[in-house]
Amino acid sequence: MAISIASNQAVLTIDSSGVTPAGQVLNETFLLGHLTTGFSGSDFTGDALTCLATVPVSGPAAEVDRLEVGFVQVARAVSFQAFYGGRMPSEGGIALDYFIPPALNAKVLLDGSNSPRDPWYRNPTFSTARAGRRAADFGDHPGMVVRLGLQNRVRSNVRNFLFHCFMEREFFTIFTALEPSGRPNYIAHFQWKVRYEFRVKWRSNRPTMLINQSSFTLLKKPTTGRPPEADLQAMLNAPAGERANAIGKRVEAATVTGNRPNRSDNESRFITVPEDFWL
Amino acid sequence: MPLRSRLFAGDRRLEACLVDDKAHLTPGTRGDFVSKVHTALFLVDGLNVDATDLRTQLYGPSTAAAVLAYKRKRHIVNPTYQRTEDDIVGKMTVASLDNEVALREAGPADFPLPPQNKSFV
Repeated sequence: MAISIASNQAVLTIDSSGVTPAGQVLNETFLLGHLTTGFSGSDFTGDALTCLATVPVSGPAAEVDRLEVGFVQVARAVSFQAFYGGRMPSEGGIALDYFIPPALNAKVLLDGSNSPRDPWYRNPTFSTARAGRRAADFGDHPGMVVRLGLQNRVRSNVRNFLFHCFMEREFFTIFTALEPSGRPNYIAHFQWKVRYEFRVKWRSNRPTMLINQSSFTLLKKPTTGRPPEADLQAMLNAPAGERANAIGKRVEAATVTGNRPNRSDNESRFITVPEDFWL
Repeated sequence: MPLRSRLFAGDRRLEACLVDDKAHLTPGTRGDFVSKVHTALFLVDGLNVDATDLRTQLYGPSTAAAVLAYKRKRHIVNPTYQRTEDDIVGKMTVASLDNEVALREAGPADFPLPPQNKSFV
């Protein structure tokens, strides 16, 4: 007898209460965007969005014992851009566009936290709920790192200052059972989105005003089965490989040190620079 | 020898400043060439001038103060007629700024590493 997973009886309880994207300046060098339920000033790693899921499982005890239940998460990189301006128009401007080739070639990425085994978002811990149900929990705190200043290559390497940035990603969080054969059984999923967007104003050479226009949105409530989106299917069929965090760090470096179309240094400031962005 | 930095080279007013006492930059002067001096002071020493001077391309009081700070740091004086630094951009000052800007232009950009404990994607 094979294992039976009652996917239609799966229960996913999402806790997004108080979840909000916040911004923080670090060492006057980086702008950090992070999802939080109450930022303490130093903790960038605590979970903000959480989910507890259970599903009835039955079958031979030996096989059920070997069944792993946890979460797989796939991230879709939508957009990530940052814009810099000199103190005056003649000191130029810089645009960064991270989520395009050659810096980023694939927009669907397998997500993970703390170097998990494939395909897990985090390595599942064996747990049994009541009435033959198996349980798993999930938590995430997606972040963003943007440099506050860059040197303009076509304007004598003079420093340009961040005045606007945004990063948007969608996440497909999938309650999953991994059968002893290694085949993932996608039980249920939900979809959410984080858009970080900040405008920065500088006073006396310091980023003193941070205008936060970010948002967190639960796009799809828990739904049985795997996500149907066409661009996700290849990843869901073979959920393995380098994780989004590692790719993201490489994308950041490739964009900042790269050239067009990821990075463009301009002799003039962008017309979108507010009059009072640098005083 | 003409000015060699990308920032200054070819600017008639600054090229004149390099060779002609009458073309020295003094408080009250205004123009594109003053903006270039603002950029140079910021680039080599991080010296800021106030927003009014920046916006109006003016060699105003904050520009004069920044020039004086730059010259004091390097002890730029003409011993034939002065003992202490002044707040004017003359031949020696424009040459010094040009040299330092050229070195900056040739140098590598500074890219600090982002924090490692932060999720990025």
